[in-house]
Amino acid sequence: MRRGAPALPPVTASLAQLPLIGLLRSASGRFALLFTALFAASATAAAMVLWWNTAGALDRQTDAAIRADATALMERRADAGLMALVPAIIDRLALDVQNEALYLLLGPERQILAGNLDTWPAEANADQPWIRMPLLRDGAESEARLLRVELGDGHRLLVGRDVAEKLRLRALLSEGLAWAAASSALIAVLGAWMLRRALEDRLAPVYGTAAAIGGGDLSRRVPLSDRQDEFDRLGMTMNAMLDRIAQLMEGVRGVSDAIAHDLRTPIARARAKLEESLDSAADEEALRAAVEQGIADLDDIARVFKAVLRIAEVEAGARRAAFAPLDLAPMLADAAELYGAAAEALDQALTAELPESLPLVGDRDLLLQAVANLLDNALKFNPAGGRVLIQAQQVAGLAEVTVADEGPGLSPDDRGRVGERFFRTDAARTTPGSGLGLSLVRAVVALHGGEVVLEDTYPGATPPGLRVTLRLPLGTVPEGTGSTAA
Amino acid sequence: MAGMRAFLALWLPILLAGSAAAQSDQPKAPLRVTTDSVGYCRALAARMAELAPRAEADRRLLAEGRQLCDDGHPRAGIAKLRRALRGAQAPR
Repeated sequence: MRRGAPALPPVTASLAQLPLIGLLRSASGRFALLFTALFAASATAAAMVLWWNTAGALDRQTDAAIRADATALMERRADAGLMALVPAIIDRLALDVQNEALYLLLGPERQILAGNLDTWPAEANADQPWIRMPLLRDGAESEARLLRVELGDGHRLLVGRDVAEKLRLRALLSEGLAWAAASSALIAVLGAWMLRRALEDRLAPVYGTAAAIGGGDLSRRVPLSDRQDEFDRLGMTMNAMLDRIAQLMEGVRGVSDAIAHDLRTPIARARAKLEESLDSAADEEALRAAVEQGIADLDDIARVFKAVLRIAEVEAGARRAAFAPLDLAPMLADAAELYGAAAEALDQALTAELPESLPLVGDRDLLLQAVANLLDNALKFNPAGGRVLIQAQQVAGLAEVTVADEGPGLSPDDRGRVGERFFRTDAARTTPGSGLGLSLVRAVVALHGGEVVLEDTYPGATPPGLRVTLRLPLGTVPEGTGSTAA
Repeated sequence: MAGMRAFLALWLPILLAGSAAAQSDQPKAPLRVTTDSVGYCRALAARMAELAPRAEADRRLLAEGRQLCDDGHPRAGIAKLRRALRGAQAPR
């Protein structure tokens, strides 16, 4: 029972213990019952077809023979008169080698004129001309199929057949069908049981894994078979989900550790400064300056927290609702113009190579923030007199935005880690920054279903520079997440 | 075995529904066939004798049929006499 679910009343609980109710509550049981029902339906249909084509055919054959015989007698009557029926019936009975013909010709006074039945049955007076009657032939019970023919002037005729042989055949057929039905039912029940067992066996690893994870063992994964069937696909999906959860938890743990580690230093530094000024400030002016410096330090710390929260918001996909069609080209031109001034101030050159238009579906603010972070990083690490290039183009359904600088670049090991929060290369420790810029870039690109590619601007040169390319899908709102490639 | 019986009890009525429905309207008093009697057998033998069958097989059937009727086996005798009659009336 689920935690928090209301307890079943005693009567309902006892009903649930019944085997049939328990079977219906189980999906595999319902599949098995459905299998049984389909099997029974197909067996019934087969039996009905068999019955129609055998016993039914025998009945139709008998009726056709009687109707043909009656028609022949009526033609005889039309040719030779009513009384010609008497010798015709006598002849027919004399030549009835199969001993199954039945006739009774009745006169207007209900007297028997010809035939081999002892009396006119009351049932033959009904509206329906076809009747079935029990028959005694030399003491043996049988059945007669009879057709009444009105001859006019009070004359009436019964034409029929003894269907004992056909009844025996039908009984044999019924018995055969009953045995076949019993065998089919047995096979259906056996098949249903095997189906249920197979389903439970295939689902058992999933139950086991889910139970283990519910119990706290997050390392467990659903074991897969070589069949590559629906259950394996379910297992693979569950495993992918569990891997993703583990990755997110690892990320959360990493962020917690990073916050504890990287923010402890500036907080301790701010505290030490404030404590020192409290002890050593010569006058009120010095104390005020120290407090202002402390406030500025705390503002920096607050900005870092804000950046961390923003990355978390982006990674959670909360901003996906703000996706809208936009043109990347003017947005990049604005960013290039803004950072162009900053580049000039740093004695650097920023060059933009942008198309006329680059339509995209995405979040304008986040994309602008990501490009701004890349340009900020490029200017920060570029040497004086260096160049920064921002390019954009459309390549096979993707928008590629590239920011290249002539700075120290990144080693292959560092490229794999630059997306981690608070990660800073050894060379960057002397520059201002929090190590969150590329984390945000990666999160924004992942939100758009794209990827971040890190390369050397000048492979083999020293310094090699860094070329960061954002590859963003143009069209629909992405569901998946992207990755960082190096 | 009880399950098998329950299954037969469930399915047999369905399978035999046609015959059961047909039998439900049967009267209690059965009809009797009058052409199984010794008298009819002898009448048939007399009719066959009038035809004077020329084929040996027909004559043998007539004799056997008449003998069976005399021995009190009218159905078997009638069957032979009918075959003899059919043979005698068949075009040669």
